[in-house]
Amino acid sequence: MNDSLLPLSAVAIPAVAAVAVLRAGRWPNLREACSVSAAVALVVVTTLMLAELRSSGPAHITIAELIPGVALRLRGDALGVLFAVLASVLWVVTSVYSIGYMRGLDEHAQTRFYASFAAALAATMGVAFAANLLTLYLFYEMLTLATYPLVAHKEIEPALIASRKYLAYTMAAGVALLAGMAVLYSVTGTLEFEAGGIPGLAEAPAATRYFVFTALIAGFGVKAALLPLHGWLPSAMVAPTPVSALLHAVAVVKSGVFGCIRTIGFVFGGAALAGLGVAEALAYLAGTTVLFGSVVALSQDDLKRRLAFSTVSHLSYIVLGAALLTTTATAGAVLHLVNHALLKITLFFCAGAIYVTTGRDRVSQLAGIGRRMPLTMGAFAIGTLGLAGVPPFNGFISKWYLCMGGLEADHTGLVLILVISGVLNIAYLFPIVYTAFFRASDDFTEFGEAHPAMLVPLLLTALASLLLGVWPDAGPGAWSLAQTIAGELP
Amino acid sequence: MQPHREGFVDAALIPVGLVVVPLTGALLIAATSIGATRRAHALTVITSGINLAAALGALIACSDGGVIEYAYGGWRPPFGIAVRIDGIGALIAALIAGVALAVFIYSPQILRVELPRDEPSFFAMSLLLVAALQGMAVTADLFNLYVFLEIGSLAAYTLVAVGGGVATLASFRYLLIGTVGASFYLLGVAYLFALTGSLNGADIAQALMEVAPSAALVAAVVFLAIGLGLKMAIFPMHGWLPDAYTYAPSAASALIAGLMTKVSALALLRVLYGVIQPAHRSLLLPIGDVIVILGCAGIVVGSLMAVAQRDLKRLLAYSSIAHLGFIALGLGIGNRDAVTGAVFNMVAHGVAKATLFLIVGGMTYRLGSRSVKSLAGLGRSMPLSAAALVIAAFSMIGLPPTAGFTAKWYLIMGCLEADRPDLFAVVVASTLLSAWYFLRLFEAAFFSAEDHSADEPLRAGWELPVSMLAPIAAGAAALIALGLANQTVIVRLIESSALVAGLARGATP
Repeated sequence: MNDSLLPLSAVAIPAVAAVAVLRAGRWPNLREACSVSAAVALVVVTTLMLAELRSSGPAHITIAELIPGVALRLRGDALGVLFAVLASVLWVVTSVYSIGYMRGLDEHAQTRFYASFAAALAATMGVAFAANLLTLYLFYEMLTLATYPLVAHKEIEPALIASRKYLAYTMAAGVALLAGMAVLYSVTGTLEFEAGGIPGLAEAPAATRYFVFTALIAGFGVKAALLPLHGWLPSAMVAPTPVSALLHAVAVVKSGVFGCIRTIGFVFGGAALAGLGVAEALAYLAGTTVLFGSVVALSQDDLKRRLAFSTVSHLSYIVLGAALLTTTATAGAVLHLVNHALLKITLFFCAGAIYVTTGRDRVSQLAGIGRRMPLTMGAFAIGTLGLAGVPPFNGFISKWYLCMGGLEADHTGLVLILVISGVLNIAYLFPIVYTAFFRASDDFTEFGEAHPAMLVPLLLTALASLLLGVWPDAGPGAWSLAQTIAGELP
Repeated sequence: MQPHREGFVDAALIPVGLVVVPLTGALLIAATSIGATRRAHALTVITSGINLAAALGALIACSDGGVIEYAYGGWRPPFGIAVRIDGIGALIAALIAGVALAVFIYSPQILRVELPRDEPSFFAMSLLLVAALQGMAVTADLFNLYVFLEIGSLAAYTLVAVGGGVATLASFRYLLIGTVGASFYLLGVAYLFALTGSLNGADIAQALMEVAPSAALVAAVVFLAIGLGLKMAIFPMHGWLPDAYTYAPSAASALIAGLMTKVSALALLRVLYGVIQPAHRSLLLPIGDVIVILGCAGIVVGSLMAVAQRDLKRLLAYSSIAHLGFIALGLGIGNRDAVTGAVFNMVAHGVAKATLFLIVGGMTYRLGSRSVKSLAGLGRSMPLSAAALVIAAFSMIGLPPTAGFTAKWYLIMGCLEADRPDLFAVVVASTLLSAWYFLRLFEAAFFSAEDHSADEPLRAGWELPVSMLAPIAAGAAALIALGLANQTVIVRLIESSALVAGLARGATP
């Protein structure tokens, strides 16, 4: 197969957009046009890659050999394309939403905001299409640095503290990755991802495999917010809501989860993990995180923090599914990566729309708000039901497969955790919907629905959640891709 | 003796272009251009242009194991002084010539501020320094290396001292410590001469095969290592460096910080693995171990001190100590990957550190301050310099795809191959320390609450003048290019050199 320019353009388009945004800073309309048109162009590219994947296999390109035998290399396999399509489609929606949000609040430093946003997307595309661990590491670090300005955006003390915390966690994660990667390379001489595991790793000494697995999972686990590495995520909610929506519910945190899936399925594989017990340990750690996130979410009054702990919990659903090492659980995990993205971005969009429209950001202030903003809160309700796993919303299907996978792998305890967490989901989100619609408002400020630039995106993502719930293979065909990915992993 | 490589240019032109041309240029300026700044600058740029051309010629001629050998005046060793350029020597020569040319293109504007009316002397001294450094990089003769070491040091003392005020004191301290170092080195050479009757590196190596390990040999190696260790500022022999780097004029800091210590490191590499025989190395093993321990200590202490600094130049100086620790660590471990990493880091760190000093010089020029605080708003007032700062910092932290990553990766592989998890842990974890002090700069440059970008800068206009910006941009671009093309450099220049190719893979020899 020849080199294809598609994966390279997927990284280059947002990167160029970042520069263009900086150059167009003085003309806000032109600047936002850059963001939106780059997002649309990116969707075209990722869709083309999906078509290429279906017709003639993964598109790939080798850029430069960085260390002997390992090149800076991009390759659009099923998992990568799925993640890239998801992130790029949601970038379009978020770009429109950001315009409404940032202008609605009259935020400062909007040029830096949009430029960093585009840079973060470029890094996410790199993560999605990385053909080997070194390339993944490169873009993973770039992602850290591109999102750092977004966390520090407000430049007030809490934002700077949160951004330092974010950097401390993620740079430490980078060190863990570097260590694991170096030992892996010294044992196998390659870092190239291979469905089912890098050849030769299974024969390595158990201590080495143990170290590599722990180091890589610790590295990716930070962005995936695995307990006890999750501390940065709730603090990072100080960032503007579009950042929380796309980056801290989709691109950044899912890059961590994505890295975990790559480590489990494409670096190790069942053979190299056999007998180590680390996959089981990871599954139980993820299970603990699922419960922990849900329980802590119950007590959060700050709406975004409540959603952040919910994210902590749901990211671990995915990690758990991948760590179970069965086809059904893996398919469920990959599908949940998509479903949670749609649901959580909807919820964050709603939180942001409420904040811009009413200035409220606490759960306790939301009584009666559903009567004034029925569409927004309707979307919020869809997000809530989806996360809880109520049919016919999309969250149900992925959770179902996760539970089936858990039963196949004979981990009834983990299945129980998933069920309990589903109930907790209702407990921490549904009261918001209930009070919004069925309690009288306690103040009489006049406000109506959110600005269309925010309302339309959140309705779209909510409808997409519903659509994927009834027809999981709609659009890009997430379900068939998830099955392909799971099927590739022996 | 290997023959010259024919067919490219007369091999004699290269050593002449590397050493004799800048030496002549320095004398020419001193003789004709004192008081004529423009002429002095033109002569300097032309001279270092020729120097760079010669270095590029050396790169081509010495790739894939090629060697240039040349004897000054046709006097063959052991009587005459010989030049021997291998891939590593050519690489370092190119580093010297490239950084020097960039600094010379950069310097007129800032010299007008920092050293009014003394520019021609500055150029003359800098060219003298370049000649000496090139001489050290390519000479095959240990005593000749001492001569160039002293010439270069004298030029460096002067370049530091012209900073005025505290710089005089810093320079005096540098002179005292530097002289002690040079004396140790000379003593070591004297011992080797007594043992073998030769000053030529290759001859000494040959003769040492016949010499039984003895106290004299140990003394010789220890003295050479201490002497060169002082010159390359291995912890705890680094005391002279922070003040010298901080108080020297900006252009001189870039030149000295980028190059001086690297050439001493190259000399140490040659002594440890080119002159001393493998058979003797078991006897001398503790020296490698000591260098390793001092290297680690330098990494930790240098990084921690850098975190605590408020003056940018001082911060960069301490970060140099940390990076020289990396180089020392690689040389001490001594397997092929570790030494490759050390050599690559000489280049990566040389370019990155020179670029950073040029950026700080630019800030001094435009904003009139070089404190960490004055970085506030740099992202707006000097966006291109700030971008170059980010790239150079990436390289210093060791993030791919910059050159710094390659250096670190090879060093890590060297640690793993030598089966030293402790050193592996130090190198990997040190990433966090260097990230700490550089990210602190980013926060100041891009997000500081007190934004000075609206204040009236010392000089109006957007960014720096092109002549200052272009060298900075070239440095940043070189770091990425070196990172992407690292396999070409490593395979064709470093690993193909007999010195590195002869090293064992795996555990410490």
